[in-house]
Amino acid sequence: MEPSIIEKLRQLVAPPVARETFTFGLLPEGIPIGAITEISGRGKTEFVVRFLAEHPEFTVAWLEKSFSAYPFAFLQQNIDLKKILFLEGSREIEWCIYQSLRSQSFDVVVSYCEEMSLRSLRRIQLQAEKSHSAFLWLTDGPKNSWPVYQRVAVCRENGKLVPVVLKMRGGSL
Amino acid sequence: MRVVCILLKDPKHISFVADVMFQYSPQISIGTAWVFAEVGACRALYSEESLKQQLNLFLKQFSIDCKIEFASDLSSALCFCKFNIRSKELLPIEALPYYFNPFLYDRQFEKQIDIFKKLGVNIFKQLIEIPRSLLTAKFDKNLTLTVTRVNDASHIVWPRYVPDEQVTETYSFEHTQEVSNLSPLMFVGKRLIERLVARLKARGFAVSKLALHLGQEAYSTVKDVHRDFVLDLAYPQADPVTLSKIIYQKLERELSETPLESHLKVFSITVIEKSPFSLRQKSFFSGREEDQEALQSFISRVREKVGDARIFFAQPVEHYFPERSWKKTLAETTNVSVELASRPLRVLKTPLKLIRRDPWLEASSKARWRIEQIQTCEKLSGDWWQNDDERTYHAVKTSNGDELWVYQNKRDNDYFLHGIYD
Repeated sequence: MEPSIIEKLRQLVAPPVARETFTFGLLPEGIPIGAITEISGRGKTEFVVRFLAEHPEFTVAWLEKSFSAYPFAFLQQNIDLKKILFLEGSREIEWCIYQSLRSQSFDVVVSYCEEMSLRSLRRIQLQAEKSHSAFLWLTDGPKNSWPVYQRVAVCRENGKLVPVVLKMRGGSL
Repeated sequence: MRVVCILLKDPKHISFVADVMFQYSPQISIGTAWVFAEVGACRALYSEESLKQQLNLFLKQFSIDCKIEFASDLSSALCFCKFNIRSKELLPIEALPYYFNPFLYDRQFEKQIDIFKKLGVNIFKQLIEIPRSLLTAKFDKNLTLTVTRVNDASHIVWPRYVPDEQVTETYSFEHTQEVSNLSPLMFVGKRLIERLVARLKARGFAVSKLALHLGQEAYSTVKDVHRDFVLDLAYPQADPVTLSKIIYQKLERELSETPLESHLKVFSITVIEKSPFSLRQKSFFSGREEDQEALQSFISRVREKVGDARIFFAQPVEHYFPERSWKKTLAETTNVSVELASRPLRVLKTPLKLIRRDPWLEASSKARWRIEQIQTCEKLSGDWWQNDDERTYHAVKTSNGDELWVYQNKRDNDYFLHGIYD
């Protein structure tokens, strides 16, 4: 089959969806609203914190399975701590993520949780879409979960954060 | 003066109705099966007809059968309900005891009512026409006083209704209702919560702390017949739906740990603590109040599920040591200006002891990092009166790309991994 036909078929099966995004200086593609963005690698937390610093008006839920974030350092990165609700979810982390999206109280929900079941991710994806919030999933290494809309790997080069978009669902727009 | 009287078919609802009436008037009195409220002052807000409709609708929600009537005095309002007549002159002579005491039926007039009937005096119009001198000669002082009140009962003193400090709603299950799990329990619970919230809201309160009681059938195999739980809410709640969800989560957690041993006999909810609550005018355009309520509701529910200390805002505290430079709070936080060396975004709950064997930093867990660059960031002194040691913090770049935040104790020169630049 010719490549042009394959491309046409691909467009039919998964046409690019024009999804709204939050702008972000470090990532020209932006952060998609109502979808899951997976962010992995060394520098992932700083990457998210910088994104939040660019949008001081956002209300944020920051959830971790075992809490290791250091809020004082957030303050040093010009984050308004009044806008961030921290949550240590422990074994209830998936429930907490779902509920935080469902409450529709947050523009952005961030979660640092290494393991997440496919079923939960699918539920989170649907709920994020419903509540029009961005869900940022922090992981140490890239995962291969299909409900993730955008996958970003972050690394540090000469002290600077360098994000690489590994996957963008539906292809580039 | 305008009085509304609510005559209840079932007197067990009397304290509920009396509590609810506080949203219309602070002047409330109760009889054996009826509630009075002075509503003359709120006529500018509600017409009598709209108030009657509101009350009828509200009480219907809670399956409370009642009759509602208005009059210019207590006795007339009650008699209009009792006898279904709206003219004082046409009231039957049997209504006479209610003009002596509108709060309690007095049997002392039964003989005199019979005498009046024999004399052909059947309604109040005929009674009023009897000369006062004749009444005082033939009947006792109480009847004379009562007839005087038929003409004008506005000076009757209102015994003040004082609501209970602890509001309790109870449901007793029948033997045919074999309730031993959460769904039917919460089906009943929702109704109890709605009643509790309505009672408190009318008095200007929201729920802060609750006690839940589950009374089980006392079989010989049941260890704890009575199960009690206390629910301390993060924020006062005045929304029955949110409160139901919180109670559901509490019971779900408790009953999953220790399931019920037999069928339930009683379920009761008591408000132990309440907080002042005012119904605020909501902004039509911003929806800020709704957002705030939604956030508080979310916090309360999650707090109940994961535990008190696990959901919080971070409040910066002026302290050099990283672990003491912020604290958890649910109150409003204030930001402080910070002029310290850049600190990592991730900090270990307990610093991990390291052994420095150049060029390696080794942990007891066999993990080790090869140092590529080490740079001193800051020197911190703790509280000397608490025997805090001086720490020298270093930013360590390692060969695998990790950037560590390591400190060295002044006392014993030990190294500890305290954070990661993530």
